[in-house]
Amino acid sequence: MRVLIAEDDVLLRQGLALLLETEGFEVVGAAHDATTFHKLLEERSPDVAVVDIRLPPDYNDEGLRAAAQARQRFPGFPVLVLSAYVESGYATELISEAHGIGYLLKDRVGEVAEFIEALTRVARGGVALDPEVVSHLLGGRSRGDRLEALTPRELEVLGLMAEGHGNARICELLGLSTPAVGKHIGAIFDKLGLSPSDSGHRRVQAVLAYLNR
Amino acid sequence: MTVRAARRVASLKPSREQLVEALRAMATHTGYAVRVASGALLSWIVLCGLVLAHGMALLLVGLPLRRRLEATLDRNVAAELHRACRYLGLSAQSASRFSGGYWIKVGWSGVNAVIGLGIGLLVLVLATGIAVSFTCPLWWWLLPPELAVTPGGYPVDSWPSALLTPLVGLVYLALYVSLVPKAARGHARLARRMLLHADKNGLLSRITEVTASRQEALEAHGTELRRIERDLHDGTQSRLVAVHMHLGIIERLLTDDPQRARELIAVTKDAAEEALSELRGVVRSIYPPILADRGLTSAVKSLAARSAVPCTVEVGELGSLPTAVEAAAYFVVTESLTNAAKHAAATEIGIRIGAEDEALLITVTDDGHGGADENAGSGLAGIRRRVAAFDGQARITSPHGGPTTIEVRMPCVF
Repeated sequence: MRVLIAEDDVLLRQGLALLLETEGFEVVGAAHDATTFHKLLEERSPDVAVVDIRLPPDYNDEGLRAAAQARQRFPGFPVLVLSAYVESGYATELISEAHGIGYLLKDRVGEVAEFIEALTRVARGGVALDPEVVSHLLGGRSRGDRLEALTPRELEVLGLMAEGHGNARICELLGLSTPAVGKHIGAIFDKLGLSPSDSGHRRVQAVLAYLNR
Repeated sequence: MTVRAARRVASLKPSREQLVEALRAMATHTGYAVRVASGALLSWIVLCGLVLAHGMALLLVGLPLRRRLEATLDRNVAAELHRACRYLGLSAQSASRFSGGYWIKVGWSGVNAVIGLGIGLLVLVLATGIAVSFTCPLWWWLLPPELAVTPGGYPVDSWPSALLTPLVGLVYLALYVSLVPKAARGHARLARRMLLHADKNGLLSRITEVTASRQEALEAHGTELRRIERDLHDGTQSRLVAVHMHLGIIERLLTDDPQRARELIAVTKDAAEEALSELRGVVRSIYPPILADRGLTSAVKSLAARSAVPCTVEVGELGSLPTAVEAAAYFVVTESLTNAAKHAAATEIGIRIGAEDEALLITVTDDGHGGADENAGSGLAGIRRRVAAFDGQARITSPHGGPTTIEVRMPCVF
């Protein structure tokens, strides 16, 4: 898989490239700012991009804007956005928009297996949402709503769904059987009043839309 | 009352000093009253001019005329307030607190035009009365009978009537002595009340100052928070993320490529060291540890010792200072030293720190080429902001050719 990187910090840029190459990805370019990123995007036709949210010259949300531009140029182009801090507003904005998007804390990169799993998921059109964002969305809710009707296990499953994991991965992560997870998901959708859908992007959207309501 | 005042002047026998003192006081009152009268005349002119200028606003000449008149109005009102404050024995500072708007000034000028002119007439009438009454025995016979003066209400046309007029003069004198100081003081008080709103407006302008200083404090604080956030996120945190990431790679490489893993350990160690040194830098910039350990005096001395340009330090008795003021003072000295070394090409710097009237005074002088520009991205604007946040003042003088002097005064009591 061909990856393009946009990260201004030299050490992180080189580290990311090294990590991806060690894991069998092909790093087709590493940009230090948005302009270079767009140039390389045109020239090298990568399959997926890993973009730092803060890029020169202003170090605000250039990465986010660069990602949006890239997706305007190449609709559905998968982008994994990395950030030093979590901002649920950014995250839900990104996710509600389309397929193949991820928003992770930079810290996750160190958990190589999980990071690679998330990147692969995004590259295939899935979603990867940082657990921190999800727990923010789940925990920051004070009004007594239907979430209270969920059992702890169902809350766990809901969180993993929001992060963008498919059924199989949820089974693996929680050590449950496929029918058991299916049952939990059914119960969650029932209690929250959502229409059940497949394990793809639509489901994440439904869950996030609910959490954001 | 007039009799009492007349007695005070005429029948009591005051000592020489008392007399001189009384004369001096009368001179002060008279001086104030005369100036008030001339100010009132100016008020008339300015007000009539403003009415005219408003009328001529449609013509092009109206506007420049109005501007000039408004400038005169400003000057006139400021001068009057100043005079009133001085006359009342208030500090010049209290006069400078005036922050009234255009209409307050116009309103005052209207009042002053009437009252001031009245006071002027009072002085003129009484003074003339005194002069005529006391001197007319000397010259009444020079006038033809139909032009006889009447200082006492009766024509002076015979010796008996002429010899009585000095008694009338005493009445005029008594009136003068009792009325002129009262009128002058009344005018000054009115000026103060109208222009400074007694103490209310003074309080108001003080509140304006405090609000501004609070605003500066918030801005300085905001800038500082943003800087710290940037330093921590883009510096320290980035380094730690790199450490974490490399450890992740090393973990994966350990079995397959231990040689490569070992190489990466060196990179990781460097990144960890950088993270630590950046963290130290951020902490130092928030609150220099040396301040916490040794206090401002030692901290400044150590700054001077480390300075690239030779530095002399004079520190007076400082007492205990608020922590925030200490940190700001340290910042001022650091920035001043950096500026002197970087922009002024100085070869010698003098630092003086002292306390006076519950304020901290810092003076940094260098012998560089001067011409420091506050707007050219130097640390000077930063100094001003930081000092203003504490309701303090920074004065920066830097003529071309030097020397540059930075004087800062920060109150230590809030």
